[in-house]
Amino acid sequence: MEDNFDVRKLKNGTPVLLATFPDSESVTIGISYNVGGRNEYKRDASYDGISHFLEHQFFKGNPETGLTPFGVNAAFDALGGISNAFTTEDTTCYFVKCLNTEVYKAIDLWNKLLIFGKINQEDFDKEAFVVKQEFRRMEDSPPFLLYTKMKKALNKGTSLEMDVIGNEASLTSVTLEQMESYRFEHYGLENACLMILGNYDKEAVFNKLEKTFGVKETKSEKPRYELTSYTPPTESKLEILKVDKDTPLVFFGLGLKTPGAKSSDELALEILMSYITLGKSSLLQEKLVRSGVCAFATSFTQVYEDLGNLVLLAGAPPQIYPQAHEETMKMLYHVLNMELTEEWLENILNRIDYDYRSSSEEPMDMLSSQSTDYWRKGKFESMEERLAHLRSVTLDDIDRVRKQVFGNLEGIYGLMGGDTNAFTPQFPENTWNGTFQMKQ
Amino acid sequence: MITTTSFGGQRSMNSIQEPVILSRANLRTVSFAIGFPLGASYEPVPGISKVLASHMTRNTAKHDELLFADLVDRYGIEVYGESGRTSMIYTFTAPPQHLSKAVEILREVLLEPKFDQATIGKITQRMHGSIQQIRSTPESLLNEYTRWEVGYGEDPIIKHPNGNDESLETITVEEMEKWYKTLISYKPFFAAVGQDISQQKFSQAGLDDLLSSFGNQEQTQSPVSPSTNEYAMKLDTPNIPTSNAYIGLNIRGSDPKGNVYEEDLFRSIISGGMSARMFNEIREVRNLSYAPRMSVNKFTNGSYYTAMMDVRPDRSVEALETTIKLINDVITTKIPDDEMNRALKGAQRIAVFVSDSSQTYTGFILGKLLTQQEYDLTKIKAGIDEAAHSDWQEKIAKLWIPKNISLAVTGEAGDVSKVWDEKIREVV
Repeated sequence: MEDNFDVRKLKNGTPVLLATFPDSESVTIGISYNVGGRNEYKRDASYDGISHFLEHQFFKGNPETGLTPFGVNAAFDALGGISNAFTTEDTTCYFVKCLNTEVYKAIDLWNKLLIFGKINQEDFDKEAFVVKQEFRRMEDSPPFLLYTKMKKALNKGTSLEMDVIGNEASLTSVTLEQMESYRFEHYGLENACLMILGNYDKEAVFNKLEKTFGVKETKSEKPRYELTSYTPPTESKLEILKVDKDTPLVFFGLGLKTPGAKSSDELALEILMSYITLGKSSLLQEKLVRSGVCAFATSFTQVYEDLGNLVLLAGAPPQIYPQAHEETMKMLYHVLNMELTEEWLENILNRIDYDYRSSSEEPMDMLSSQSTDYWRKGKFESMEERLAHLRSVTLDDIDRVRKQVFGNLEGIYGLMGGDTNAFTPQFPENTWNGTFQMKQ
Repeated sequence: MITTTSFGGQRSMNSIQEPVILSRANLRTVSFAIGFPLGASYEPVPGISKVLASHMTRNTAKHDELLFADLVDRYGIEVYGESGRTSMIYTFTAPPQHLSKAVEILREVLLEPKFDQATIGKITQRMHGSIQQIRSTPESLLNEYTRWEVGYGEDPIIKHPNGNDESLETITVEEMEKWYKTLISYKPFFAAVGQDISQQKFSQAGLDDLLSSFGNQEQTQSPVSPSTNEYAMKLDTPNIPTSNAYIGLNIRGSDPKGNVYEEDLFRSIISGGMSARMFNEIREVRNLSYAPRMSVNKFTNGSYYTAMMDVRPDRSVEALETTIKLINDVITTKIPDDEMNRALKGAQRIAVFVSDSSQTYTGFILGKLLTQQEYDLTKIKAGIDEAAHSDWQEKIAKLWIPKNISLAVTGEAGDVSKVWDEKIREVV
């Protein structure tokens, strides 16, 4: 089955992805804004986390919409829908998955929710409390806590360093007026795209969108955030970031920068990352998981438009941690030195092909990836298009990228739990000639 | 369009339950799964079922670990072997063009295993880590251990699939071979959902031969005994300091094989959406928790409902009092019509949305087969609808009794134990 992508624009210029899934009894509708933690960079500290806070506030309605907070929730539930939202560094996406018989009502509801009315002070105060609770919950998950700290340290000095969820202080000091002005500045349709996925009448739905979202005014320019760029490291240096949490497992990880989504090396990078992390025969599975050295090992790859982040995260019992560390470093060194062959490339491409089919089967999963990719790559890209582009990558392209990313290893080494003084991580023999330094 | 087909044919198929095979055009992959009514509750050595399922999906007699991983990745086949509390399930997801190969590999996994002590060691090493990870995460601790132990005492159902640190050290190749023989002596269940599949395609791929290789045994032991909770309570302390308390109010439900749609409806009113009682009262009105919800586990001979939430220690008491009251209100007072309609849609949509993913849908059907519930989505929707028009509260009230109710808490939670004892006795 193909993606059945149809990309159009409403008369006010808002891009729309129409993807059809015959036989499905659902429709998933999403609106994605190019706004997130990056837009909060270099603003007053009260703004830290405001995009995410506003994501929560969106579901509160306002007098102009005629919807109370409970009214919004009840309206979504009456569609037989599951509604939610997520915020990242550069994307805030709201979505609902509902019965396909309710698609027009769902569009009407979203359209109504985009009316900028006065935010109720009581709702604002209450929701700040909920977000703080979300923050505390995250602190009770050791691996996730380590990941967020590593990511912040890795991107220090750029707009990617922002904590999307904010912090206790910012959530206490941010005002309703700041939120309203931020909303006005960032949440116009000039900064949004729409996605409709499922089983529906495409022309009728598009006409409905024209009559609702399409008649909204848009500003002439969309808001921007500060971009950075990727520079291949010239020496091997890993800064050790110790996070104070007394867990029985040692959690450790490696955070590295990579080229971004608009780089010409982006396709080769995906192939390389897939070799490391995708599938049962991936390096991560083979060297860290199946070998038994790690209780768990996972990777987070985020390729923003200007810069990418690769974070490998693993957990091991204290007595095995030194071995797990060494295996992790050797695994990455192997990527730098292994023989690249056409057969190897074909295997990885097939693995990616299968993974695309599987991960784009559920409309909500497809929406989730398209909503961020649109801002990072600058377009909606179907599975077929993407695979065709990947198949144009050569072994020389991959060789160039691996030398950039792994030639010298520079980044963050995160560490949490166990007796973190019992072992000092270093580059294993016959790998990189470099240093591990304690982060100040 | 949904096509329901089933095996049968001329062969003697005494040892299998009737397989369920559904074709759907909106799907890009094919998933199939085979499930055995055997899991942690029945195992002789705690953790051995999980080690067995993991080992069988790592290597076979024909393919060592590396070759096996290469083989499945070459054909884009995802393979999972897992053990739950009352079942063991092997799930395969493949591109439609590699269906035959996937069935061939399933056969190899199930009928040609090869166990060795080194691999057992690697698997148990990871499971030790997993146990530690759960004990370091207060929400996982509540979910995986505390609420089971308080609700089911010494019953076999409390046995966690991970086993324990001591038992994992005792697992040998001989034990594994013995337990494997037990596994295949049971009558399995089979379900498949995907693009362009049919009875003939599975038959040509050799499925009926494979399914006739298993024994005829059925699970007759119940993993649960009659409840005597009497407002039991258990507080566990995670092995690291926590920011929140995690609270779970548990209710033992019915044996799912009766298709108890009244309970689905009850859960939907409590936690079926953002306007449902828990989300509204606990999060929206009182801002007590970020993620309040009611979970359900349905297993052989039983089901278990837990109203759980993360909450600041100094607000734990208020959270508990509120939860007791809201559950009691749902059972004892009339539900307004519009709320009932939303809850009905909430309960029914689960049956619609599972069909957008071959793997989710397959897991859904197999779960229903293993617990002898209805799997047909249309019939499920009709059953929930019928329950909504019956005196469903009367049925739920029979569960909301002292012997069925318990409380599980992890982390620092102030005076909840005192409040629990007082408040629950006031209403139940």
